[in-house]
Amino acid sequence: MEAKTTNYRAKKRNTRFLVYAILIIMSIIWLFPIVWIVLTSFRAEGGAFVPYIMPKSFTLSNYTKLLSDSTGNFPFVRWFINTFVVATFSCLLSTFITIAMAYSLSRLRFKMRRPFLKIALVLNMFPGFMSMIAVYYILKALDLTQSLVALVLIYSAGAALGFYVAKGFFDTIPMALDESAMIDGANKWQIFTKITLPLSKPIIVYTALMAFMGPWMDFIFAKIIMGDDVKDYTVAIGLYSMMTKTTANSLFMSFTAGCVLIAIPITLLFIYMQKYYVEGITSGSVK
Amino acid sequence: MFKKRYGEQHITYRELFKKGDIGMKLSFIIMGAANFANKQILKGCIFLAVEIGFFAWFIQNGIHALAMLQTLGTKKQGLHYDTNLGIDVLQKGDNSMLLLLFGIAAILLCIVMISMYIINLRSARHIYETKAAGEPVATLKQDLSSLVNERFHITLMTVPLLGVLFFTILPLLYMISIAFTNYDHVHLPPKNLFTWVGFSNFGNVITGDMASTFFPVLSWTLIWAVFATITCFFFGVILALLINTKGIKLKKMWRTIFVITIAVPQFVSLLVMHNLLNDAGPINAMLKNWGVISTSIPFLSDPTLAKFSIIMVNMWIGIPTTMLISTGIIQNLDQEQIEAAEMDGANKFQIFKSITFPQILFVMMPSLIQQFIGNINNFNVIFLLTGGGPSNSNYYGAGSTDLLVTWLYNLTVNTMDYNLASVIGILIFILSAVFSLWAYTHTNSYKEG
Amino acid sequence: MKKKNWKKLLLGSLIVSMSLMTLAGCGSKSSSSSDSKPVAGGTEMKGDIKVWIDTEHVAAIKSQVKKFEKSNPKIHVTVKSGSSADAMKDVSKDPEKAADVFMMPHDQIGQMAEAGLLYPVGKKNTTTIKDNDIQSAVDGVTYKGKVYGFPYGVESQVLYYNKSKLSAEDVKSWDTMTSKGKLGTNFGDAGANYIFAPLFLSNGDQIYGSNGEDLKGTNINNEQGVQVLQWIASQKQNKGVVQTSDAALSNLQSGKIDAFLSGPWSKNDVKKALGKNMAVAAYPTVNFGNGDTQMKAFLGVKVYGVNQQTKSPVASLALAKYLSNEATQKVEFEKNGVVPTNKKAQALSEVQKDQTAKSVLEMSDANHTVVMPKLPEIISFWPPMDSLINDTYKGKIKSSQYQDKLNKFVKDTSKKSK
Repeated sequence: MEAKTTNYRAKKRNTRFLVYAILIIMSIIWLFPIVWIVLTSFRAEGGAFVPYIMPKSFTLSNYTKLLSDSTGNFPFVRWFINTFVVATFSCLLSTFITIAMAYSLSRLRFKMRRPFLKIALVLNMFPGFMSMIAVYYILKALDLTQSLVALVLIYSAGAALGFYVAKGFFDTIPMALDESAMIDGANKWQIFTKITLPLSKPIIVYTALMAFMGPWMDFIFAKIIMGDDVKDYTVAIGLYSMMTKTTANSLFMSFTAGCVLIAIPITLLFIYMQKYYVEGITSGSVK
Repeated sequence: MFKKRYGEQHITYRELFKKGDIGMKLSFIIMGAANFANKQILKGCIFLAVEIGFFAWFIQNGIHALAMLQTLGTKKQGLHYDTNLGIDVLQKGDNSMLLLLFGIAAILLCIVMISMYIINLRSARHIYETKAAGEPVATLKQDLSSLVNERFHITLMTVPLLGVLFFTILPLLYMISIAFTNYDHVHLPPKNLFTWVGFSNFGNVITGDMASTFFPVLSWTLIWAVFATITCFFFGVILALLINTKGIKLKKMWRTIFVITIAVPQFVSLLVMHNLLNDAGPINAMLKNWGVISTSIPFLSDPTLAKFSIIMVNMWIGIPTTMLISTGIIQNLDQEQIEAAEMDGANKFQIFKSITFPQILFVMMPSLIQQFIGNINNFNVIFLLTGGGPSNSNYYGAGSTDLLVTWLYNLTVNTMDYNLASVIGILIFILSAVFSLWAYTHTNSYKEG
Repeated sequence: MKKKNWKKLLLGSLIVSMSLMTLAGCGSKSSSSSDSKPVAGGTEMKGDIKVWIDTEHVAAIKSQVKKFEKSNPKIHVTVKSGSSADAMKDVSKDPEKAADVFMMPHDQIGQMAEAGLLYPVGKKNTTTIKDNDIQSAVDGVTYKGKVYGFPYGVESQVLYYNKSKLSAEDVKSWDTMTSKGKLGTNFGDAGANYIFAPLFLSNGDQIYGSNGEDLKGTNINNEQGVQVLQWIASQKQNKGVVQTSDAALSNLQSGKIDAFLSGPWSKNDVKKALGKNMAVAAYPTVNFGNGDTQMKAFLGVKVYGVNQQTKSPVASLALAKYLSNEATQKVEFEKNGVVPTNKKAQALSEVQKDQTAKSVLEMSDANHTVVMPKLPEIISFWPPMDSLINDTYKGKIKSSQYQDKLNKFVKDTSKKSK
């Protein structure tokens, strides 16, 4: 009996050892590229390609070059502020739009509801490249090209069809809550704001987080809208524009420095918010 | 309930015209007349303003826009010699692309106008019916209060739907239309006009020259989508289980390590991966220094290996997300059920197979379907990692690792064959739409209460 | 609750009013664009001009633009950084909002002229260009008998090598060079088209005819063409040839390779990598099996194009002319190593003393280079050429298939449209 327990314990220890080993190996694989970016951003010598990992000499000049914008062609600080502004506003707008759509389609009943759910599902599936030019000309007709407002508008307009996760969440809130409020004489608006929204913190945070991160990542669509207006670029377009054929080699280290600078706040935000992220995305289907 | 009661009682518009009073009769020509006659001034004003606005626009621009849609322009841009200046001077012509876009916008607008007209008639009919029933006509206050009640969805959805109409549906129709034109690299605006050609582009893609590229690219797209989705899901779940193994310490730290990769923008991590995996990149160099290999491993320059590398890199990107989600699910699992199964002598694997995994699969099914569709349209990974390469001499405008969507991008940006790109776009759309509608109606998780 | 229409009304009217705004906007614009009266303004030397300059050239050009503005006080010029390689793409996206004057490579001239994006420079400027610039540059900017741009630089690949490893004599022949040292070059990756498509020309074939404008003028599907492919395939076995694309510079520095083929744009990077061991030469000779023959390269001309939709054509043409004159070419050479096309600028002693510039100039005659074709169909030439060379080099195309592949290639690239 005793032998069996020790055996069991030893086995358990072995499994644990194995799990640690796997986790450590995987962590190395996952962290390697990130560590490489960070190291490269401090590298003093070479160009985009060097056949080694550890820089031979370290420097801060990649960062100072980027932040001081000595050439005037890459106003990184300005880009950073632009992105922050766009992200904030489109986060507010998109969250409102997504939540409003999701709530309507989950709690309210109207004639076109079911067909609309299906249409919305497939509308998103068209590859966007061709429509980008069309969107550009629509924005031009509204005289909105080359402005941050256009970006906010585009990112928020897209939010109207991204309601599926949030709708799933609202579906899980018992209908009985609404009904009892209705009996108490509350109208739909009051139910929405006083009852449903306070219960929906995870999904609101999730939606807001996703909307906030979007503008930091998009480099194609934003570039089409912004064109040659370098000072209104977001960081994603800006950093990507540093990687043209002729400049990639000389600017690579500054590029990685820029990547590190935008990755830090997003990473912190994400780590801080990951609880909501999980709750948001899983809650929709847990019944 | 209310809807139904009224729905059964409606009279036809013909009857309305015969029986209605003068205001109602006028509503057939002057929108909002019935509302004015019954003191719904604001509503009447809106109707009237819409009508006036529409006709003003229609006469000024609308007729032209609609007429040009038929030919997509007839006047070519040209240059004419100006003797005073000694240089050629530009004479602008029609721009087929803009004519097409705004022609479609005009059609949409006319459709909206027609529905407004019908709403106007319904409003008149409604007034007629309430009066006939001896009830008072609704006041402005009643109308407004209905907007936060039974018509609350209108209040919430109007603005978002406007966005959808202008920034999704209009561009979509434009893009679909291009598939039926000859908008390719020899018919580029502003100088050249393009026009309607019917279905011939579809013929070209499916049976003509392009077929030898289309079908291989399509099959790789599907293989990619299946593998990319399954590998990320499967290994993500395993990673979550590993981290949540009983007795493992620092769970939060492990999770955080993997979460970092979600937060790094894809264009950064993918460009870096491109660099790392290059034939002369650090990984190859390192392996060579250690003496593991003598010649570089062509991670991204050999067609087969490149496909493999892409799926691997995609795992690097996708696994953390799945891990995070499945962690959430695992933590919410019914512990009693698992303990009961353990009592009954089930081993870890059995528990995983019949309790944990089905639960995770059930919860994640919708997001799996979405990921699958997302992978069919996954532009970033291919574009940034391999750019579609390595090249393939058997393909037209595509490389060995190009997906349909990146091929479409090449066709628009490099060869400027917008019509062909549009056909491919439509085919991708049909593919994804059919699949997701099927999934939508056939999986449990999508079914709603 | 009785007013079901009310809300639809609200929705509808919002849509209509917004649509009206939109369409009023586009309507007025589209109607003006179909207006046939000639451009009113811009006939004088005045106006606001926007110019797109490659990022690394901005500093040099800004100083020249200041001088231009001084002598033309009514013209205001805005310098923005653009990407000359994407000129076609960026201008065609929205010509009205694009720059009035922009840098571009000459091989996009055919396509942009056909799409109505480029302003012909006019008779007087044509004479100036013909008088002042070398013949190959004039050929580069001429399309269907009209001149569409102002040349300001000439580019061709040259051979950079490490003179501590290879002698000037060694690099005169491909075979000697690759037996004595290692040449890093790119047969197997994207970009091989530009470096090695001219091999066909070296062996006596033509690509789009003698002037690069003849759609049916490609004849590489003959015996010489097959020889070229055989030669490319044989380079896989050549120990002196190292497949390298992105990493060429770092390999040059670390001594893994002793020579590589690139253009004047690499000058400063090579200098950094090799220091005083840097040497430059024209292309070597190659042997396809019927004796040594000069290995050829494509000649590229750097051009200032003028937007056809510009509101001030006279001022824009004047600016483009100024930015391509002798003085600006001198500045561009000093600051960025752009090899001039202007005959007088070429004769300057600092240009003549510069190794790289001298090699590029040596390359720029008809024995060493062919002006890159510029007809619109060239865009459908590059991708299949890349894969043809890549796949041949890697052995994916067997020697028995060479003829068929070349036939298909010529057929595909000679098509007008579908």
